[in-house]
Amino acid sequence: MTATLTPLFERVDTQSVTTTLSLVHDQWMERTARLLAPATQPRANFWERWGAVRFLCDQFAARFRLERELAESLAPRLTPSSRARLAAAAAAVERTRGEFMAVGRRRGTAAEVALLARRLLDHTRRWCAALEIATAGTLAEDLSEESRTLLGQLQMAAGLGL
Amino acid sequence: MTAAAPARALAALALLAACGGPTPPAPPPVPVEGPRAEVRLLAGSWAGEFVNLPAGRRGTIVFTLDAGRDTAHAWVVTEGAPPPAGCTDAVSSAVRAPADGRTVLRLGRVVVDAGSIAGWLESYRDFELGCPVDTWFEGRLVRDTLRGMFFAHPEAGDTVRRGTWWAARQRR
Repeated sequence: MTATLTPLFERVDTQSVTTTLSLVHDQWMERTARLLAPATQPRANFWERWGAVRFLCDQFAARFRLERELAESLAPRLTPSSRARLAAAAAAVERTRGEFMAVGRRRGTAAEVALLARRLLDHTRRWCAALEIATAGTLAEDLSEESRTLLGQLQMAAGLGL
Repeated sequence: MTAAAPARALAALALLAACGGPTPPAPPPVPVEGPRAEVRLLAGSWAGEFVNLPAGRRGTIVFTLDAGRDTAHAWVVTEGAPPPAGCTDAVSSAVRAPADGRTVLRLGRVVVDAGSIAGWLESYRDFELGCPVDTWFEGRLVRDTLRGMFFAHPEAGDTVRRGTWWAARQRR
């Protein structure tokens, strides 16, 4: 395991932040789409929806919190426009996640949950794109210690398939 | 923009409060972030308008930042009918929040740096669909005028609506 993770950490220092984030985000979006896929079906049963709710409540929430902490740590380097776009994107993700968890716990809501799952994927992609664009031209070596640590944690999460 | 426009914006807000319309509640303070020198440039009372021509939506902006403070008070008041109770799609019926008919939108935060200003509004319900919409704005400060664009992304749909806004300083 250590042998696998070490190169990931090393890449934090040598890649542009945008490149690192795009790789991390590709993995995250693929995993999120895969785990939400059963819930995107209009005929998903209660337990399939429940599984998606648990994923959003635990793993997705933790991962998105890490993303937001990274964005917050980068704030002094970001333009006002980038910060505003990120804030709007984050609000959309959090609100849709909350709606999904509220509706997904109820019976007879498969159609609504299917639509919310697709919306959540769209909003999450928008967040990822906004963060990658906001960090364009930034090198990892220019980041603060906190940002580098958070970026490393995101890479580690991606390396572990979380 | 005409010379009378800022006065008109202020008058519209006063009229709204005075003649039976929904009285704008006292807004919570809005954090203003950025280098201290840049924040200082925003000190004063500002009044202006926003317009989204395709939707025919207009509104007034009143913004006040006391010198030396890093929180402001802002009223963003839209004209027209209050939003409907909820979206017409199934999801919004399931997650519908009670409609209170408010047309005062709240700023979440304002950020300034290098002559640029941006910020975002707290989510509000779209006036046509009733769905939540996320809005952010960008602009520049030139002397005593702020001017820029805003972008609104409704929960339902992929389109981002754009509009323009401006605000002129009434006094420092």
